Amino acid sequence: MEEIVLEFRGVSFAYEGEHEALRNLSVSVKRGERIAVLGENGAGKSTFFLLCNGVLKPNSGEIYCKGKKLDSSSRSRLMQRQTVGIVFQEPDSQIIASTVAEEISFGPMNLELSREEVAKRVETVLERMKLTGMRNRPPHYLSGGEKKRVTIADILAMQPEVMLFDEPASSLDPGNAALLEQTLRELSEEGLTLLISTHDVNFAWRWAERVLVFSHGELVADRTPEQVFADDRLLAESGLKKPLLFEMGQILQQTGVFATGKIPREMSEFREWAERMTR
Amino acid sequence: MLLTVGGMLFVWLLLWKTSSVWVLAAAEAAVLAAGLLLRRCAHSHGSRLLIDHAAQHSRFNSWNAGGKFFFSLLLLFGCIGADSAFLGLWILAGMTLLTVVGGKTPLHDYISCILLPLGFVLLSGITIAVQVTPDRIGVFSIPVLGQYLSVTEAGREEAFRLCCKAAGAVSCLCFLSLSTPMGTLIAFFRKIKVPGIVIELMYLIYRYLFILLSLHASMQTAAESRLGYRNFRCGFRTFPKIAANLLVVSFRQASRNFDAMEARCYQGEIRFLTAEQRMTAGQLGCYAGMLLLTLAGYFAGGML
Repeated sequence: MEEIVLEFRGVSFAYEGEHEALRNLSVSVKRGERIAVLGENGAGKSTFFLLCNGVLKPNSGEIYCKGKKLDSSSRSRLMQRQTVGIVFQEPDSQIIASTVAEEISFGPMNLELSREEVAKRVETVLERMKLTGMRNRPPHYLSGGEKKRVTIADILAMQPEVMLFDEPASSLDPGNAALLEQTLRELSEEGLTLLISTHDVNFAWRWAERVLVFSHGELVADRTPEQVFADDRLLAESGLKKPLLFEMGQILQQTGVFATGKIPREMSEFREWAERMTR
Repeated sequence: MLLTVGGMLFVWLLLWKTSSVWVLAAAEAAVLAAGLLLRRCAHSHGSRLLIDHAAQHSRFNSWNAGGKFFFSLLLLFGCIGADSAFLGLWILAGMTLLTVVGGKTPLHDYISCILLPLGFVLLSGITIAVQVTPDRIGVFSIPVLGQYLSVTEAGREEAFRLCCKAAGAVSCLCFLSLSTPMGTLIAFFRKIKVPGIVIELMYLIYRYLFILLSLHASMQTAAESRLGYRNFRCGFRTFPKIAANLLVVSFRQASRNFDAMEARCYQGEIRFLTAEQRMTAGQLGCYAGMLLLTLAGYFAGGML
């Protein structure tokens, strides 16, 4: 049942005239996974995303999308971009239209759907992202959080199977970040495959079921969050920190306060854990 | 300030030796008062965004863009074609009322928008009224370098008529730009088959205008906070640096935007789904009423 939606086999990529941004990357993504992509700035996360979606083409190696090998034909590129959508880090580099509704219609129009279908999709995602009241507003009169919601709606309207988020919470206030996390959970429950690049290890610990760590253009770890965050050497080498809750759990385990059970992912789990242990 | 001085000069050119000195003085005082008043009214804040903001909030925003476009175009051509000073002023008044009262555009915004083009109209009016002649002719003339700058009766009548016509035409365009946001206007242009490349450029330029303006604003604030504009010399050094930086940043931004467009299956044509704005009987009625009023103005002007 575990279908592989995206697979990289020995993919390397270099920007023109520069050293390799990604080296010999092999990784596969299964349908419905929640993957956090960690790594320092310039480690190759964004390049990885652009390769996933087909904006960049690998210098060597192969990429498979739903079992089909991708070539340079426009049909296979279209299939890849339809399957994989990216929400870019800066809303201003994504938004091009002069009203919210038009902006959301850009992707579906490119898929050459009928007008009715496009209109229906725009309506649905407007409602879903709570943007109905702003449909005719130009993007330059939106706040940062609203712009973020527009960029997510942009991609949702194309109904991709895999969604990539490039540092989605980097410019959001806590309220909007919480709203974003809520949306991410819903999307995941609906069966979408999500990859999120982030510097927020606490978020990765709370949310992800699998962690990819990039460092200097190489994939240095592809494991569960427990394994990644327990590996002190890996964390030091790739410039990462331990999530607060994880470190606390580790300390409590090492000092023998709590001996059993998995380290909690969320505060509410931590409370249950503590209550169970002291009873 | 320049506008007030220009206006006073123009009135002087128009009225000199035509009636009593008192009429001239009264007219000059009126222009001065109007100039000072407008200066207070039209104090602009971020004037570059003003038109866009006003158009978004106009009551005519939801009206059919094609209707507004053809209506203002019709009046514009009528205004120029009729070649009558009275009709120009009549249309200026009518369109001002339509925009401010009908569209609920704040008077302050309207004045800020129309003042600049009117200023240009006035300045060009002065240059039309004044001719270079070898002899001393006309109502009066000033000797300059062996020649004369003269104002003739015909010249100043011509200048007055041209200015009124241009002011009327400007008010027609102001009505359009203060009632129709750029996005809807571009969508309408696509409908009447303006070439795709022009349409796409318009969309992108419009969007980029705001991105670059906000980038520029933040760079300028950052420079100011480091005393970059402390005095004229500093400002002179800072300004080109910001301009150069803006160029670099805009190239980078453009390449990012292109990536994002490609990621959304962009295949060489920008298309959006635009909302339909129906033409209603009410809208047609309003245009018809305005056109009738204009016709009435035309005949009234003929009789005067």
